[in-house]
Amino acid sequence: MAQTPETVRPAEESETAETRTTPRGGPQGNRWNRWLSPPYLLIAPALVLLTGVLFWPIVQMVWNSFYEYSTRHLLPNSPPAEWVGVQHYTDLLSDPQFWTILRNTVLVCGAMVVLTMVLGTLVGLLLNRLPNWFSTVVGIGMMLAWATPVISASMIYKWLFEDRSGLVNHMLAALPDWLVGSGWLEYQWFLDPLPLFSVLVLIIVWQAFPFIALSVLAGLKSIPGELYEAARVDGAGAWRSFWAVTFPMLRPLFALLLILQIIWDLRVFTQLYILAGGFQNESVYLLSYYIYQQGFSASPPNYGMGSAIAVVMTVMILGITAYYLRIMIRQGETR
Amino acid sequence: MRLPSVAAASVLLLFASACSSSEDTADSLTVWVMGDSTDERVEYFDGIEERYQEDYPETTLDVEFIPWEDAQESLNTAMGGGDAPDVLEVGNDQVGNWAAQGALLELDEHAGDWDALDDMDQEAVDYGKYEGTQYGIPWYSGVRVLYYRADWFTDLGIEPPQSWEELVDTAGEIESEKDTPGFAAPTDFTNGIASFVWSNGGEIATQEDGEWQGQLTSSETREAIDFYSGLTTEEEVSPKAYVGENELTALDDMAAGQLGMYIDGPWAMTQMEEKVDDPELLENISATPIPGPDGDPAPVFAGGSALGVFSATEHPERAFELLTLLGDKEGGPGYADVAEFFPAYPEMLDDEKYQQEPATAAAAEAMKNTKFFPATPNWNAADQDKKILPGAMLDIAKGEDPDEVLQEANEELTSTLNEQVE
Repeated sequence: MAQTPETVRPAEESETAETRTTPRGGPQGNRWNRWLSPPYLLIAPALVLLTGVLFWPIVQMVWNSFYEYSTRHLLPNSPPAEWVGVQHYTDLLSDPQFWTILRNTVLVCGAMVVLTMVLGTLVGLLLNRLPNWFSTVVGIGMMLAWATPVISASMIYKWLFEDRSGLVNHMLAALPDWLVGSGWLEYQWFLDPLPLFSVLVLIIVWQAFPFIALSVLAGLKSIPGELYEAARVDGAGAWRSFWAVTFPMLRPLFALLLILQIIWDLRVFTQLYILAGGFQNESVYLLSYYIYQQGFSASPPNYGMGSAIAVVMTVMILGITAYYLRIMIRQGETR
Repeated sequence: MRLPSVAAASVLLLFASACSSSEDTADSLTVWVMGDSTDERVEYFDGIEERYQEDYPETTLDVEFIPWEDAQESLNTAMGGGDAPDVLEVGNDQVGNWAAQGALLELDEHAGDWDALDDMDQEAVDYGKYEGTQYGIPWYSGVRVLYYRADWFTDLGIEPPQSWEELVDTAGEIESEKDTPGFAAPTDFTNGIASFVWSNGGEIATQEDGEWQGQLTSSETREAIDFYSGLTTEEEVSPKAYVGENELTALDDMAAGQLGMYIDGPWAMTQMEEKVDDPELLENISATPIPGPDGDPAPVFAGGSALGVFSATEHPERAFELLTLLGDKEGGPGYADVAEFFPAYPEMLDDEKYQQEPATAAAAEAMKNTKFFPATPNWNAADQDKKILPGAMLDIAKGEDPDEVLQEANEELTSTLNEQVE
C-alpha cells in the first residue's frame, strides 16, 4: 500500500527501518527533519506517483461501490450518483450466484496454483540435473510457451478443443472406445464449467510453469552441493533430500512464487473471455469475469456493483498476501 | 419525478440555444454506424457528406463503424467524455435502453416539422419512443428468413419446408442423403426463436396495466421452445455444435457448404460473399419465409435500426439536420440498399428490385407480418445482458429439465422487465 509521507504515520515495520536510517545523534525529536532526510526525499517522487496511479483508483473503487452508478451519471450535467451505502454488498452476499462464482474461482485458482507449482518445481529440478546444452534446449522451449501472447495461446487452445474440427476430439475419437469412450466428435468443451475450466487450467499452467521452473532452477544453483552429499551419506533418497534440504533452503522463494501465482491466477480474465466467447453462459463466470460483466458489458453498466465485487476480490488478495508476508517476516526469512 | 435524461437534455438545449454561435462553426460531425465497414457503405456516406456540404460547406463527416457487440462499451466511453458521436445508429430494440441511460437527445421538438416521419411505418416510429418521447427515428428494417440450399432440394426432389413437420423431414432428408447437417438451431438466437414462439400463438412477455408478465411457461410458448430445442436433442437434425452459439456460426457453415438450412436476415448474403470459397455456391442458396407450425409463414421480429442524436453533442441542431439527410426518402432507402435491408417507408416494399432476389422477395413478404419485442429499456437487460431466453434454451438443449429451467427463466424475465427505470 502506498502512503503519502507527509500525512500518514509510519507503520511499525518502517519505524524500525527509520530509526536505523537516521544518523545517530541526529535531531531525533524533530519529525520534519527526519522526514526530510535524504532517503525519504529520494523515495518521495515514487511514493507520490504510486499514490496517484495505484492508491487513488483503489480509493475511488471503494467509493464507487457505495453508489448506484451507471452511464447516465457520466454526462457533464447529469444528476450525481445515488448513495446506497452497503446495498451492493448485501445484495452480493445474499446472491447464490455470487457464492457459486466465488467457489468456482477458489477451486479453479487452487487447481491452477497447485499444478503450476508442482510441475514448475519438477521441471526446475530436471533442468538442474540435465547437461548444459540439453537444459538450454528445454529452457528455450519453455520460454516460447511463456512468451506466447495470452490471446494467441487462448485462441490456439480454443481451436484444439473445437468439437468437430479440433485436434483433441479427433485424437480422442481415434483412440479405442474401451479406453476413452465414444462420441468425442460431438463433445462440447466450452459449455459446461468442468470441461471449460479444465481447458482454462491447462492454458494457464502451460504458460505459467516456465516462470516457476526457471526461478526454482536459479534457487537450486545457490544451494551448496555439500548439503546434498551430507544427506546422501545419511541415507536419504531423492524424495527425502528434497524435503530435508531443498525445500527448507528455498522456502522463501516458494512462498514468494506461491503468492505471485495466487494473485495472478485469481485475476485470470483474457483466457476465459476467449474460451467462453462472451457473457451468455453464467455458469462459467469467475470473479474477474463477473466484475467486467457488471461494470462494462452489462447494459446499462452497473459500476457500483462491479466495484463492490472488485473490492471483495481485492480484500481477498490483500488478505492472502498479508498472511504470507506476516509468516515470512515472523520467520525472519525476508532477506 | 422528472427524468434525469430529460433534465440533462433540456439543459443541453438551453445551453445550445445560448451559445448558438458554436452551432455555426461545426468543423466536423461524427456519425457512429453499427457493423462492419464496406466499400458501398463508405461510398454512401461520401454521398451524404456531399449533400450536407451543400448547406454547410465547411463541415466534414467523420464516420466510425462500431461492431454491434461493442455498442455498450463504446457508449460507456462516449458518456465518460471520450470519443463521442453526434449522430448515431441504435438497434431499434435498444432505443429505450439508451434513452434511459441518458445517451440520446429528445427529438420531439426537432421532428415535429419533418414530414418524412409521417410516411414511415408508424409502428416502427412508435418503437423509437421511450415513455412517450421520440428518441429514435426509424432508419431501416429487416426480417429473418429461412435460407436453404436450392440445389440440394432440387436433387432430392423436395420442396422448401412450410411447416414445422416439413422442416424436420427435409432437414433429416438432407442429413441422410447429403451427409451434412440439415438445419441449424443455435440457442443464442432470440430473434429467430421468437418466430417459432409467435407462430405457435405464444408470446415472450405481455403487458397488462403497466406490469410485464413473462410468458415462457404458457403452453403455446412452451410447445414452441420444446420444438426448437428438440431439433437438437430429439429429432437431432441440428448438430450439438450450435448449442451456445449464435446464427453467425451457422452462417459460416452455410458459406462453407456444410449446412442445408438456417435462419438469418437478408444481410447474410453479403456476409457470406466475404466468407465463401466458391462463389457459385451462393447462387444455390435461396430463401423462404420462416415456417409456422401448420403451413402459414411465421411472424418475424422487425429488426433494424433507428437514428438518434447523442445527448452530449455540441451541435444538436446541426446533428438533427444530418439525421434528416440520413433518414429521408433518399438517405434511408439508400442505406437500406447498401446494408441489404428494407427502407422504413412501407410504400417502397413492393418495389420491383426486391422481387428479383429470392432472399429479398421472401423477406419483403415477411415484412408484412412483423412483431416487436417488449417495448421497455429492460428488454435489453433481459436479452442482451442476462440472455434469459438464450440461457434457458442453452440449458434445455444441454438436457436440463425444461419445466424447472423455464419456470426460473420466466421469473427472472418478469422481474427484469418490471425493474424500475430511474
